[in-house]
Amino acid sequence: MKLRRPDILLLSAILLAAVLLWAFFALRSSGPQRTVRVLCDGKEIAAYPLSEDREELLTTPYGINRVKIEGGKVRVTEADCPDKLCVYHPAATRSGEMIVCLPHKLVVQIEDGKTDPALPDGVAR
Amino acid sequence: MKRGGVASMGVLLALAMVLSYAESLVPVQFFLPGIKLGLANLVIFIALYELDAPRALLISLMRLLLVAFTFGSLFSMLYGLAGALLSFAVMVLLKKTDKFAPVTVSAVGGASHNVGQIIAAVLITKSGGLAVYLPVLLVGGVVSGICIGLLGEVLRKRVFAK
Repeated sequence: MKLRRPDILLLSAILLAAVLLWAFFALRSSGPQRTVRVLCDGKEIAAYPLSEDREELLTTPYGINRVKIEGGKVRVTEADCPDKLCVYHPAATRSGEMIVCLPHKLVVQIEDGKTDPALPDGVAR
Repeated sequence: MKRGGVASMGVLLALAMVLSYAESLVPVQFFLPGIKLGLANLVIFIALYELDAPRALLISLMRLLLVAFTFGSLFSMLYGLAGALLSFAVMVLLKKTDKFAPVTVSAVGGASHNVGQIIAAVLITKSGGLAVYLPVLLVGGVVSGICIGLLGEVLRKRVFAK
């Protein structure tokens, strides 16, 4: 059994592909972290990383909303608003997705960590 | 016993099953669940080189079916089928070119076996995120393929050489 040129080339090509794929995935996962931002009346009242599981009871002048982050998904599990549309809304997972509770003027949205949350944007003046 | 006849095929199939069973008893866990040597592929490798492609494929498929019904599961069969078919196709094509050493054919076969399983897993669970395992599985497949190829070459020399 002897390895010749074609053997070496083919095997190194596969290993190279593995290394490139690994680098690609490593770079992508170290990218900006996604956050869950909660806005009330257009002002940010809370922000949590989407990667950490947690449950928060948010109290606003309009009422309460319970926000639950679990396994990279966010949903509103409880609210004392009349229509409960936010509670029935399916869990949001993608950047840009939002759950709105109109009676409480509350918006829960997922954002790419690309923009600096400290900078004002269109919503926060 | 005629080479490639019913009796020898039966012996090879039994050998492949015993090897699968023996491997399922040893809980070897490398750094990822599911990475294993794939000892049964030793039989497929030898059948491919000492018999022919249709016979090797027949043994491979029969083994999958029998293993699933005895100590595997329907899901393990689905994943195994995807891996076995892709790996088999790749190995036959590589062997046809006559440019590669048997060990290389086995190594690429091992890698494509894992790629086939990942494809099946992505299709079944509908989560493309599983592709993250590809690099590890590619390397793991090459390593176990090389082991099987080296073992197979030794066996071919000692058992099958006239």
